[in-house]
Amino acid sequence: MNGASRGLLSSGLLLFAIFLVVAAGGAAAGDIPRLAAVAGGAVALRAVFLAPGLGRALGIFAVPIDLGASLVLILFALSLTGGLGSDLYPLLLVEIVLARLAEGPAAGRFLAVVATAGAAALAIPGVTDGAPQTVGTVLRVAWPAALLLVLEVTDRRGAPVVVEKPSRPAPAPAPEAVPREAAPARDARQELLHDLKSPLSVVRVYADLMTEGARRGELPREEHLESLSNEIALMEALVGVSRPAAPRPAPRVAPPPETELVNLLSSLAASYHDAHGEKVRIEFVADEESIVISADPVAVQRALRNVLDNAVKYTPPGGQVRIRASVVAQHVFVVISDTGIGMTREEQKRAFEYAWRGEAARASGTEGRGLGLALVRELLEKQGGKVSLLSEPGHGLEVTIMFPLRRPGAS
Amino acid sequence: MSAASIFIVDDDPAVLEAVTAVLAGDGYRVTGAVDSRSALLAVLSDPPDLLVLDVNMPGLNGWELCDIVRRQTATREVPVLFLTGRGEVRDQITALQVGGSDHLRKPFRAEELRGKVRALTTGARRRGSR
Repeated sequence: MNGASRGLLSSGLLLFAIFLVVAAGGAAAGDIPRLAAVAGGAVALRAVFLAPGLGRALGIFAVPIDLGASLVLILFALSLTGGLGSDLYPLLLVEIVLARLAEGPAAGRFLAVVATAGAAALAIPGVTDGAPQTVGTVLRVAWPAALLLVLEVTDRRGAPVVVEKPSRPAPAPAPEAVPREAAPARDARQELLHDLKSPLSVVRVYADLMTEGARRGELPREEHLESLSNEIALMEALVGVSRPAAPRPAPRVAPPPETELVNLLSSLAASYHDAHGEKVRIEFVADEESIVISADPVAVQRALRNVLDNAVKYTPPGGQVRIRASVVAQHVFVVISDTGIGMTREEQKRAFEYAWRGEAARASGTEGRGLGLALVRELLEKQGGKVSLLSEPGHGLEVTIMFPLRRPGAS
Repeated sequence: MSAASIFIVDDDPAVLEAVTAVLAGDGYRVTGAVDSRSALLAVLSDPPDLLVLDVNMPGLNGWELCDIVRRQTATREVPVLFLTGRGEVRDQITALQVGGSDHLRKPFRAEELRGKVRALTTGARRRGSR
């Protein structure tokens, strides 16, 4: 059952029950107009919540508001037809069950608690004319809570679980997370094939894009080639890991990767100057002649390129992009600052989310998918680095990248 | 008519980038996330015209995320396309049980992705315009 069906059923039952009570003479003549108003309220409530757009506008509050309003109408109808002794009382319990079925256990709990409070309020002398203060009253106040208890216990005793947790892609699926009959034990080859599916998708997609581009006479885009290369490297690594261990004379331990930052930054600054020098001034300053870090140069270069791309992209013509490399204690700092559009504090908090772009970035009309800084952080953190932002809107952005220092020749 | 908006959730940034490259290149407004919890917040606050979900993700997996999305008034009509490396019939049934609209098995090609997305976004728009 979905939420729309629940709403229709709930309102329909209320209308039908009010009709029956009035037809059977269960309501005082003076209360009939009020009951008609409750019925009208139920119709209006359903019309409002079935209308397209309102659900979206209310977001996550739509369901609680809908449930709460439905319950208030039922409680009001009860108060007009004898309070807890009313013939309409079962509607209160039906509403809890419907909410739980359609909107989940949390909705059922919410409604049961509110219904219990509402029923308790109806038991207060004066709220309902002639409400009998008997054991029956106490029971009727407690029924919603008792119903909730029954539903919770039933659920924990093995009601079917709708969502099953699948295995994780890497390094291997957690066996206990997968139903035995759904996922028989897979051998290493099957695992490998499964792990290859994502990089293979990426390779096929980029190959398709490049083929389509070639048909239009376009050259392959550098980032597509780079992604292809990375995914192929990943697949090679996966295949390498899965090979049966052949007897070897001695295990070959690859030396840890290292990157000489001053040369790398200098050549990057030169290439960005060549490409964008007419638009922005590119300046590079290094406090040392050589700075070596323990990190993969391909990943570091990719991260730096992303930061520089953003800096150039969001700096207006005539502006400046400054790259500074320095060593403080045992840490290397690369600070890339620009005189561009900058970011608000809120935007800085979200800047590392995938596919998020700041207001100013979107307003600037520049193209971008918002993947840059998220990728930068991911790339750098895998290499032991950290990245942080400092900015004020309209006054540029300063990206600080920090690595632990590794002196040349150190092991 | 403005371009349809698509939200992609995949914990593999490379897949996220590749799918974004295809769909953004076709003129869709594409956003996405690599973790399902931030995706959930983004999707609930600004429901897209189509949700593309990876199944195998840490934290909330794609099926669980879809199940939650289906229970919210704001997003219950949003079509969901699953990207999955799992091809067993049981997995497909689970995808349907949690309210998935269609699925695309990895590895997939750009044209397959486009076809599924086109069908789901035009279907959603038709439903939305009624």
